[in-house]
Amino acid sequence: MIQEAAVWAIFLLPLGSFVAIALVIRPFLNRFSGLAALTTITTIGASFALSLVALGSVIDNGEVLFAPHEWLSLGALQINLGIILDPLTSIMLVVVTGVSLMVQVYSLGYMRGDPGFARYYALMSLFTASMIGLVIASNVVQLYVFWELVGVCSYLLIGFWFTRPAAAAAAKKAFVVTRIGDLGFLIAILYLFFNTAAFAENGLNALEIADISAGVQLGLLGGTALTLMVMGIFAGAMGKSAQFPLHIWLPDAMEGPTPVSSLIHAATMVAAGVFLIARFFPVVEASVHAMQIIALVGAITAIFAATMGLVMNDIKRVLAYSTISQLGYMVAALGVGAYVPAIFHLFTHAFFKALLFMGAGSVNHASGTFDMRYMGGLRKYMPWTYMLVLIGSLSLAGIFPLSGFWSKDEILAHAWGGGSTVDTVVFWLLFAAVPMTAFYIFRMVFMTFHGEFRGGVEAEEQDAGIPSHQGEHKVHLAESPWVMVLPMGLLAVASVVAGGLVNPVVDILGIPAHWFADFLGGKSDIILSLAGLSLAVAVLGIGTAVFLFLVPNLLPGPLGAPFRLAHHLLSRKYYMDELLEGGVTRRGFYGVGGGSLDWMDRKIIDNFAETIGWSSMNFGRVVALLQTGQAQGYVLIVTLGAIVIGGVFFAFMWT
Amino acid sequence: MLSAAGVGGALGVVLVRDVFRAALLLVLVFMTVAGLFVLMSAEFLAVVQLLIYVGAVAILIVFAIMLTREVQQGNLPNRLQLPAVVLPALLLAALIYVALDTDWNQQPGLDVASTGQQQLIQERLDVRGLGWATEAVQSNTVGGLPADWEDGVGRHIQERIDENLAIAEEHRANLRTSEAIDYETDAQILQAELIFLEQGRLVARLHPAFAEEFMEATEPTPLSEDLISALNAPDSPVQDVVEIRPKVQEDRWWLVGSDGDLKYSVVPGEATGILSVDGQSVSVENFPVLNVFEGRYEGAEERTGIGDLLINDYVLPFEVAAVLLLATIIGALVITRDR
Amino acid sequence: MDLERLLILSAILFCIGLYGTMARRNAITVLMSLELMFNAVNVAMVAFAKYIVPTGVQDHLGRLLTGQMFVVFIITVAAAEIALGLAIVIALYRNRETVDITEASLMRR
Repeated sequence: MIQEAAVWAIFLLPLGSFVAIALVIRPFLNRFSGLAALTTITTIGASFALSLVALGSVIDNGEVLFAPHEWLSLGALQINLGIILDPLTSIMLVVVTGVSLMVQVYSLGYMRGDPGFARYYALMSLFTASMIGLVIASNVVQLYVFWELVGVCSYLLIGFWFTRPAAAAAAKKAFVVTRIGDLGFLIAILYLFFNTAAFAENGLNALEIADISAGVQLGLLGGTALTLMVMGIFAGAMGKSAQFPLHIWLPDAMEGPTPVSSLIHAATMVAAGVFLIARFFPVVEASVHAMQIIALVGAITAIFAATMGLVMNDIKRVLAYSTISQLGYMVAALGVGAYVPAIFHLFTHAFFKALLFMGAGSVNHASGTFDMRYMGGLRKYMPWTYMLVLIGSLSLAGIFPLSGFWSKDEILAHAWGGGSTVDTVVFWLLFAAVPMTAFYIFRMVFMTFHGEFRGGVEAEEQDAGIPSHQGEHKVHLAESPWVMVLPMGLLAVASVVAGGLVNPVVDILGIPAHWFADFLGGKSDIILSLAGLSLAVAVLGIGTAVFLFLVPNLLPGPLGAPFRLAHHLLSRKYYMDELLEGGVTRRGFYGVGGGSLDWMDRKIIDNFAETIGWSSMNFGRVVALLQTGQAQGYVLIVTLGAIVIGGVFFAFMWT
Repeated sequence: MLSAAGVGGALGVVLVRDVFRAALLLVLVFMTVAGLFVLMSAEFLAVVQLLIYVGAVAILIVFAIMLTREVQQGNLPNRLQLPAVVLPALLLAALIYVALDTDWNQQPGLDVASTGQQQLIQERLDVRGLGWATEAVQSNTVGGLPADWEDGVGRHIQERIDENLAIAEEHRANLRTSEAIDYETDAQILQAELIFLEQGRLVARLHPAFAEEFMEATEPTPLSEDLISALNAPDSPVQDVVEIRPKVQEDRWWLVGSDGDLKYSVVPGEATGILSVDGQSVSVENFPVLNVFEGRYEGAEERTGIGDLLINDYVLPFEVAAVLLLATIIGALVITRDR
Repeated sequence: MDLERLLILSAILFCIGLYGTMARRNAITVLMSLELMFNAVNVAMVAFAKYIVPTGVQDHLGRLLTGQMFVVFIITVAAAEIALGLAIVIALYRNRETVDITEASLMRR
């Protein structure tokens, strides 16, 4: 049985690492910035070990209950600090710390020589710590604190190279867009605050997550109010998990260092949204309408992002849209009630997406660019990376028997078996996204690793008209150092086995069938014929990619004229950025809202302020006459004032 | 005496022309105030007053007077005489009015419970099947409620009533006129006895109807003149007692005041030796009903009490005061520094 | 020794002090008057502490001494005040050769 202190230590170790780096190593020992990496890797490694212990404890004993600690108490409202250590949390802990550990090791190679090395590790520690805090939080307020901390950390890390305008802009965009969703979450929390009394009457604490579920079962929350509250929670998840239409921040977030993207996409930021819905799943489930909306939004996001992923030329953007698409799968799965498959997909996706991002980083390390049009042929130079990325891609495409296959097909099977109209629509949308996924990821693989090398960053700068510096070799085609390959390898192993072995269809190697589902307390299954079908369409997608990119090597405009319009539309991301920025923000928000505020500010507020200023100036002139500098005169006036106040008081008392 | 000396000294301070004499008169005022502290049994403060004011402040003032001797033209009035007399006089009038007009005898919290409190008490009583006591609560209202009254009031009432019921049952036979006070009247006794733990002691207020009936039903125990005077001795906690009557319980006595009302309830046999009734040792159990709360609570020893308060409740102000004094020392040094 | 009488005494002392503060030219007298006012307040505090008992005292017997506690702090502040005040008087005397408070109007600009 794990001690509570040990669970706190999982969270406090990376936090301590952040504090140590930020307060000690960076100010005083910045020359030995390796220390920062060492601290981070050690603490997160220890966290990972403890997470495994925690997982083992939960596997043996079921959910471990800890009494919450009172944090502050305001009347009927009591805010606690506590830990939930249920199967969901324990799995998330292992995923977060495990992937984070891999990313930290990988960063040793990727970030080497960066002037902000110590800062980078400090922020990564904090990022991991906040995500752990989010995962273990037993209280909504506590959860919200870490929720925002995760947002702040992602802001800081996306804008890590803040001297680059694009990075700064992307960081701001990520922060603002997710804030829009957070507002919904905040409103949901405030709604809970309002219901504190009703909960208290039943001996429940409206802010304890477990109590909220209990309250919903008692009918304390229900009907439209519940739906709206769930929609608020979902809005938060939409922002963090980049669901349509709040997905626009995620592709831009590629401006951050690649390991950061890896962490954001696999284990922390975007997983937070899905985790949130999963955490509140008993509440969410109680609202049928909310569930339908969630399912549809997820499915639309899945297909929508997949189509955009088809045409991106930036390797990281392909992966970003892939993440959005896969998150869409998870959210849709939650929406159709497939709790276990959603978490399962989150679990498997964390491994192979982290792997793919690391692969992209590794490729960038060699070629200096992220633009796939300037890559090609890297297979020869980086065989290991190629192999590993191929595994990740196969897993993402859902090829048997890699992990992606199992989790994705469980989602599809669940949607298929749902039966209602919404379930069917969701199923077909998700199903249509399957070949696209396979296509875009293999397009990426082929453009990057096959064919001839097309010059890397040097060619890119030449094309862009940037004069290349003589004698500077930005391209060094070679395999990445082992600190980068090793974590990729480990993740690849996880990508291979995590699906089939963790939640096998039949008893295998001593692991009972559907172990993962039983552990989470749900059920999951795949329908064999359906799985075969989806496997077939995935292979079809790969085949198309082979046909288009491998065999004739038609680049950069492989699509015929009929597709040009579609291609244009897709590569402009459906004009979503333009719509949201130009239409909603600029014209609507700045134009109408700002204009009227501007008018009010000038005509009303300014006049008002000037009047106040004018009158107080003149009043001051009058009062200045009383200012004799005689302290005794002041005493006199004070006394007079006291008597007047007393007189007024008496006068009111007598009347 | 002390008051007169204090006021006279104070007037002297502000009116005497010689500043040095004024300072000496100020010392007199400080000492009278210290004396007042002693009378109010605040001995610690009296000592502090003497030490700091008479010992330190007065010396400082005298030094300042000596240092500035050359320019002293005595204690001259300034141009603000008229308002400076009128305004304090007004203030004095207001303060005296407040001092006299306010009903200080009613200890804070001893006044009638607010409507909300009464409603709450009523609810609590109803819940406990004691609805009949509601009237008593409202008419008595037993004054203020303990700090934890919201939680405690029902419990207090219940405990008290249970206790009294048992006692009443047990001692019914001892009540000489048990026919006159039937069970219904027992309820009245209970109503009368709705006793609340109040301000560190039990405060009871008799139901008037019961008091009347009781007075009619009982006869006074004869008391000798000596005993009466001993009872009402100046240092006795009870005053103005003219007769003693047995209460429903054997071991309690009611003391009746000169106005014919029950005033005190006492327990004979507790060997505290304050009073002696018929050779029995008597201690005062309850403090005067409807009377000025005089004397202090036994549990609070003054000197240790202040120390406790300083290091427990008022640590922060204490620290602030310490810092303030330090700042003052530095400030005074800076101001008077020779440039 | 009644509460009322003590309060009235306190009020008288206070008002005398107030008069002295307002009406005297000598800065030292003004300071002495201030001390009178402090003492008046102290008397009132102790009187209240003696005759009026705060509610909820059964939870915390020490509260009975709250009034006296205040007096301790007032004495502290008064001591600080008199020390600073006299320091200012000395400084004033040194710079201006006077202790007449009506001539000290530096506070006007």
